[in-house]
Amino acid sequence: MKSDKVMLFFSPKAVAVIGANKESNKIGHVIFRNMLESFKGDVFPVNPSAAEILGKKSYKTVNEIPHKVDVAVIVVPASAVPKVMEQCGRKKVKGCVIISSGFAETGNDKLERRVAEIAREHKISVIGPNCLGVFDPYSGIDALFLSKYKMARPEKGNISFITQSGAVGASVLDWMAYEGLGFSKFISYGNAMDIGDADMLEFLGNDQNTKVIVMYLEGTKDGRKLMEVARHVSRKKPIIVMKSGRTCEGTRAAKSHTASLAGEDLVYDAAFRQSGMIRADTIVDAINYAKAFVGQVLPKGNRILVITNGGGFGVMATDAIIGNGLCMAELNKNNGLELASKLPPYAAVRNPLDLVGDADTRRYKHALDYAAKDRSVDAVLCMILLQTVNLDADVVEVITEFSNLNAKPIVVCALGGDYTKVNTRTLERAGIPCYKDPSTAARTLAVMSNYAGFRQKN
Amino acid sequence: MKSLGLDATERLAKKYRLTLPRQEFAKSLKQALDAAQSIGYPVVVKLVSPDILHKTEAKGVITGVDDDADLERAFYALQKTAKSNRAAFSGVLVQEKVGGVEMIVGGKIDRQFGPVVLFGTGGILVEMISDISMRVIPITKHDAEGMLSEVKGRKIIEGVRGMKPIDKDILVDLILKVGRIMEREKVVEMDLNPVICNEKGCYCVDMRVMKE
Repeated sequence: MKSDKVMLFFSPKAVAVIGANKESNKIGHVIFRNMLESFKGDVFPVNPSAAEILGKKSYKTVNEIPHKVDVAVIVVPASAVPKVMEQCGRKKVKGCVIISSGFAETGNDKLERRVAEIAREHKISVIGPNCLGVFDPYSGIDALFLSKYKMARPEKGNISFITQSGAVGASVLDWMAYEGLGFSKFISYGNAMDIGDADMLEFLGNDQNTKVIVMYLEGTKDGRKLMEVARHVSRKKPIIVMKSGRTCEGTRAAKSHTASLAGEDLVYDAAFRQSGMIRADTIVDAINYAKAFVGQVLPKGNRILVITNGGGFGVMATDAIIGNGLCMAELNKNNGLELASKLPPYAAVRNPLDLVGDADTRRYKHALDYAAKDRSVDAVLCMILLQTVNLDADVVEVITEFSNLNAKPIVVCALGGDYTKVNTRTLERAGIPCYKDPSTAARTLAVMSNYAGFRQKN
Repeated sequence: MKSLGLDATERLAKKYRLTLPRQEFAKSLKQALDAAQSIGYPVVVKLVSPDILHKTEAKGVITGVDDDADLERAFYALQKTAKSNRAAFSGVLVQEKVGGVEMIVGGKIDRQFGPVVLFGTGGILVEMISDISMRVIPITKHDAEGMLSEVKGRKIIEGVRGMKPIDKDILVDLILKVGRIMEREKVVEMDLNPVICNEKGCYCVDMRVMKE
């Protein structure tokens, strides 16, 4: 199975960095250093003109290494890649990550085909060429050519990311680390000479540490296969996909109305929908959705309860909930009366549930207890305006308690400055997604509810 | 890529039981008048030419032809249209005038995903409003129903402003049929545009089929 071909990159015992370098500004140096610092197995530098690199003996070729090598990271000029691949073949290396560029992406299809032939001949699995590399905080694999002080690495977690673009990958990874979102696997796959999008999806579908898959796609080589695998994986875990290239001009020659309307991007859109994939329009939205899926349970329906300590936000949230095709939950009468008895008479016990500007943490506790109990509530959009006098940081605890029940999803909307950020950061580390505006929060709930619908049907 | 002629198109429609309006091809004015007589006024008259693909754009469709005098004018006007487009004049198609809402159903082969089917509202205005929904085939009845509910014009399908709702089952069936044609008939692109839908059925008023 192709998915095993992907697996071997995340469970090697020994890795060679071919093209490792002594000079700290060379990417061959950065990768070797990263691997050396975080990988738990053996790492060998290969460079014919260095005796040692970072205190490790350097080998002239991979064949000189006196140990078995499972995976090689290749960082040599494109023209030298075939020779190096032949050597890897003789060494019985099972997988190569080819970082080097200068292949099909620059029109050098011939060289890429030659490398592909060598790989096939020696049964070597290949990620790349022209890619940023792979990263896995569990096994400590860090074959990324960016240094840690410029690009932070996320901690262990449950989001995996596969990307056709290294640049998008690097910035998303750095940002997710900053936001405290944990990671399972990162694969930048570049030209997809051997291992392609569907192979990686299949692998991540089976990866125990992956709960949510995020994908950045510019195009695919085999749309039907991608659909088939995605449809299967979507039944187990959500796949969030960003697809760029909406404005393709490939439809100019069309003779029918259908062909001129059915641009490439619309077909992708249909394919994603049919295979249960969740399309995100922006990078920010992809992360917005991912953090909700990874931290929260799926809703059982689309009835939302809005809790707020500010009327204006309640109105905006209502608009956004309706606008995204969700429903405002109708409060159960008896539960509502019970809740009303615990709140001051000027609080509005309806939906949105307005706890009013002087709300304290206790009122939030009552409201969330109610939300947990009432069967007419499928999910909670909880707004906290932390600027108010009576609301203190301990509101974070009652929200976390609700989330830890793992019965209904909750998303938080909190807009503010440093004080707010400190608190939303704590919430996010506890798996509660926070958003700055009600519309993003509602859109995220809609995406979760749609996906839950797909799972129920499939 | 070449366009199927009138006969081949009609055969394909018959094979898949697509509903066409009553129509007759006429080479001369005499034949056209006879055709209109047997179909019954009002009729629509369309230019038939191997050189013209988009009839509406080429002013090759004349609607609201109510009597013999109208028909005579329409016939000569279409002859003139052919001439001004430097297109061969094969004759005219005299067609029953059907009332209802205009939709489009079509298909094409996508480079990455293979055959796809498209549904949209607006008929000849479709390219302006782009109110469409698409699926990679094969599709199920459930998929086709989903397509109807995805377009903005779904309210038109339900019936608005005193109009009777159109027959949804027939429309769903038509989408499924186009899916089957795309799968089986080696068609590269096809348009049923407009399809005129009313409470009684969906009439493929214009059908364009392209093969390799």
